[in-house]
Amino acid sequence: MVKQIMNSTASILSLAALTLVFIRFFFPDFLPFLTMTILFIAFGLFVLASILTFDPKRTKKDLLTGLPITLYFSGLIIVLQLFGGSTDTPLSIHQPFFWIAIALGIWIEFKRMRDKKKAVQN
Amino acid sequence: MVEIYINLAAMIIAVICVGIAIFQVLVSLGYPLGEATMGGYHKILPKPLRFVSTISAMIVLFMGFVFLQHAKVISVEFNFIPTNILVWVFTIFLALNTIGNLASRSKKERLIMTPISSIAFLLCLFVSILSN
Repeated sequence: MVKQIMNSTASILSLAALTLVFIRFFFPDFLPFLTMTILFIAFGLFVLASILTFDPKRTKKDLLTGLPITLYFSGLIIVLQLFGGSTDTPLSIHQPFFWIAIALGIWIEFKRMRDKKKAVQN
Repeated sequence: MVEIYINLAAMIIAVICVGIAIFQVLVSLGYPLGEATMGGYHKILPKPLRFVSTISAMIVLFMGFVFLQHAKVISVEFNFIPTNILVWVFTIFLALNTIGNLASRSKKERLIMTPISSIAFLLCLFVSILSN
């Protein structure tokens, strides 16, 4: 139980760190004391904590997290650019690659979730 | 200073890629390691999946090569590969792959592949973001 709480906390913190990485990526002046290196170290440590407290027993939560996470980060990257963030990498909303990747990602996760739900029901 | 970190990250990515490629080759040769890949449905992969495994090994090796070239750890004469785009393609692929491994029906795949792919994703994102 304690391990599960620690794993959930580490996972949420790693998602928060990754969110900050993307915010800094699109807005380099945001919270200047938090450099990319610091954010990546924090992200790495939280991922490591998440791995160390990882319980390989499959839970219902693991089956259903894929699609919300994909939607969250796709939405985050779009919103950050709508608020004025810009990039010349393939993550730009003006690049067709970005939209293809999002469509593909959502489709894969949706299909995965539907298959897993069916498997759990049977 | 950041360049050293990028080079180091690219080298670790390449080592992980070579490791995964060796694993995929062993699986494609019929070794009973299939529970840790392809959803973990087969201990010994059937022939069509062995072919997929061989292709995966080649893609993973190419991925390691792209990151080494992008970080300028190695330089090759034929410099036509658009590494700026490919590093992002592989990073997004690894993000989806990590989520997929996490939800795999195979306990071995979740236990072995989830940590490997999440570390690889972290390093790929690091190289992709900081080298732009």
